[in-house]
Amino acid sequence: MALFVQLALNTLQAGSVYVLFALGLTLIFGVMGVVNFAHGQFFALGALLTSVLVPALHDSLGGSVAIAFVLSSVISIIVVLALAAAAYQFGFRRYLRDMVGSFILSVGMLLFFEGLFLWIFGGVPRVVPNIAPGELRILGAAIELQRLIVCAVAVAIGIMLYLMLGYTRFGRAVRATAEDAGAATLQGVRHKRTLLYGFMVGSFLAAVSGCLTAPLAVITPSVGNDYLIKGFVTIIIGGLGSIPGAIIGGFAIALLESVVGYYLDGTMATIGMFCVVAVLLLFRPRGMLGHVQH
Amino acid sequence: MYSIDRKFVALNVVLLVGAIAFLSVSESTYVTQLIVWSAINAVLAAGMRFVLLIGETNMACGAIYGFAAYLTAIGVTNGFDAVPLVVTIAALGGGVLGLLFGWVTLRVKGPYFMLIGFAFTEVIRLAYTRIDYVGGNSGMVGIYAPISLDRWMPAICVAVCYLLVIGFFAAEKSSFGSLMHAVRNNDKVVETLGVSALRVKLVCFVIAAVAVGAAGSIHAYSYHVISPGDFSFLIPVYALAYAKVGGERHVVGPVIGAIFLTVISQLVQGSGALQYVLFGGVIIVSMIGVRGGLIDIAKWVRCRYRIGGARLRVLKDPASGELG
Amino acid sequence: MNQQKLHLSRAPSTRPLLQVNGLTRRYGGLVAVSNLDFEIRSGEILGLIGPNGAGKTTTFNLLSGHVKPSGGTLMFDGANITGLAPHEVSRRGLVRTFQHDSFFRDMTVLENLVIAGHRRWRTRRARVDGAHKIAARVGLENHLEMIAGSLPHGLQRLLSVGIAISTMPKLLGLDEPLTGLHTVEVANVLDLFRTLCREDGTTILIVDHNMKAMMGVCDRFIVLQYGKLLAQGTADEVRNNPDVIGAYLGKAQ
Repeated sequence: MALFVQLALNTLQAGSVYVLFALGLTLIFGVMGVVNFAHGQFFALGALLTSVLVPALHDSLGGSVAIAFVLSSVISIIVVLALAAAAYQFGFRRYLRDMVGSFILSVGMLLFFEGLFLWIFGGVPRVVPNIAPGELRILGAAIELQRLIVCAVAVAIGIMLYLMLGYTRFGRAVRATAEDAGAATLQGVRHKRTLLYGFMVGSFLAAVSGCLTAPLAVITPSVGNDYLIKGFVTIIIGGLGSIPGAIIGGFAIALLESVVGYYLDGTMATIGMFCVVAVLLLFRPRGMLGHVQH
Repeated sequence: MYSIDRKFVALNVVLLVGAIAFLSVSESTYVTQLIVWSAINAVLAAGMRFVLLIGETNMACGAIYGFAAYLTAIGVTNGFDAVPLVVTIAALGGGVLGLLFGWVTLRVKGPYFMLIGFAFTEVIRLAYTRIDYVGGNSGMVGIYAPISLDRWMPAICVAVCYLLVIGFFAAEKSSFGSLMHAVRNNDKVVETLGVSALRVKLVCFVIAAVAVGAAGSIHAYSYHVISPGDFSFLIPVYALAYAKVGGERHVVGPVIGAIFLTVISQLVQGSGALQYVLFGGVIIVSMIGVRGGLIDIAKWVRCRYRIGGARLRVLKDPASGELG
Repeated sequence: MNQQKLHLSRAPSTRPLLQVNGLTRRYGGLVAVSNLDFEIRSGEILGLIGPNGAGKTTTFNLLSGHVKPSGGTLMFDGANITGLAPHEVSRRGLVRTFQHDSFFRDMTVLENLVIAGHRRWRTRRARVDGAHKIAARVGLENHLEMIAGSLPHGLQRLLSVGIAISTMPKLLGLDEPLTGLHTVEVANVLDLFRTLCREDGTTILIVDHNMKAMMGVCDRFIVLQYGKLLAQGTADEVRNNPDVIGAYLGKAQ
């Protein structure tokens, strides 16, 4: 029983971050028709900046680690958003709905940023001090308090995203553009603006996943690639462009990882993930809930 | 539109000259290696472009490339000395893997086909790390041609790569090539002509797989050491970059892109982070700047400065006063 | 003598080219096509009509193999083609066009027709010659070097028919060939159908909403409603059928 609960907790916590990351990826694909392989680099930047700023701010300003963490995250997210805006303005704007073109551009960015971050931050693995020491025991299983907090924040952001997409004017514009860009313009949706903001929201999600991961894992500049692969697996399973699909897929991946990782090891978990993807795609070529951009 | 004959002849000449050149400069191992690596990458890039002709992005070529390389390594390690035989079997092995993969996945299109190919490449790579027979994470070493062939290996490698690229060109210009073009344009109409679109895609994919397999075999003979990390998703990613940066419109494009980017990556070899920065930067600039790739730049330069025969005719016609 | 009725002077063969028995297609709980029985006779021009949602498109797709039947059989020229893939159905001689873009957009008209001749002729030269002949047949001989995507709709339809007849089909199925065409273009296309039928003996099946045009060119009609066969017969028989009139709520001529 304890094992079951432990695996469930691990799944919930890891999954919530995977879901945020994948939501960003699927949002960008759904709204812009762009396959963004640099998404992992925005994640990495968020994680790296946070991991550098938390100790720095904590040392210079004192106070609790948690406050330093919040401040660092805010700064990191702003930096990532600026970068994302630039990436959109100078790059992706020309490759809307062009999957292969935007993909190659994003790969160029992936390589460029990976090298840049390696050069700036160095390859030294960084650890963020525990932002909320202590652990919680539920039904014989244990979960670190900070993991629980991260999970809660991720879920909160997810809910806010859901509300935004469902009930705000911007959210409706995004959904309309994803559905049918031409028709959306006829309804008065400011097309280019919507695309830019859609990209920013997606990249925000990548950045925030990075910030949330910083306290939980050892951060190196290549951390983005790992999440990238999992992110794409997630949105293939859930269906490209589908938000509920990203959620289901994210938790499915986390579950697979927890279970297979426990009984076998991490590599087998990754192999297993890809096999699931392959089998799924053969029987449901659009993922579980997805729709293909034309 | 390019005059196909002129580009074709230019390609021939450049490569023939290149082959002769390093046979005589074979003291400079560095340049020789560079030429061989460029040639291998050219085949990868041309293979990527060939599949792009049916409208699909072949991210599985990393798996096929690596599979053939490992087959070669296994062959050499077990004492098979006949290079032509090993390369052929490795190429056919790549073809078989491509056939199996394509038969199952070519029913799926666009981003899904791309991502499932990506997943396939990564799974195969991870599988190598778990199989002790092929050295697990450390890979395999000592993949050399017999000593008697050693001096000629660079020339042989480049000659084979050259023939493969010519093969792609011939296939594209054949009536099967027109079918491929038609399938990309409108596969439903192709089916009304009694031709199975899936079969066309599969044949195209297998042709590319055999060529990429041959390239993988040559990779093994040229690098002498292989490990799983050599065959990650970065292989198809680089192949795609070579093809796009060089220019998709003609088979020469990927070749030029491969040579250009291979040289650049070697120039920054060993500077670690900067290698990625420069490589990525070149790709970004190519994608943002010149969308048709390097061959488009070449064409633009040619038109602007009227290189070649046209310049001789830019004279005023004395009778009518017009520029002719 | 009325030009439009001229085609009735030759007697279409009564041997059925296509025999449809009990054709059914279900989508979950919805029955799109239910137990259809009809035949298409060699040498005739048959119109498949019915109000919106009657199942015409589904039926058409069932015949061409693009949709698999839930039940029933299709016998084409003596062979059972039920459940065959679209390219296999085309190989047997049942060729169809599509409502949108039934041609190769980025290629010239000549290239379109050369590719269309892929299975019929073996050498490039033969295909090019064949392409010229087909172009002349459909009236595109002056447009061979134009990119297909840049042609006006009427000529694009002629091209799509040209591609379809390149394989010398026994049965030519046309999916809404008259949509979006203006009167002159419609007349050109109808003339082409009559020529194909009269001179080449091609059997033709047309699905379209342009009743006036259909009445002027089809020998017989199959009328569908709610996925079932409502009526069949000649133009006059169908025009005066009270069930048909009721189904269209007076829209029929």
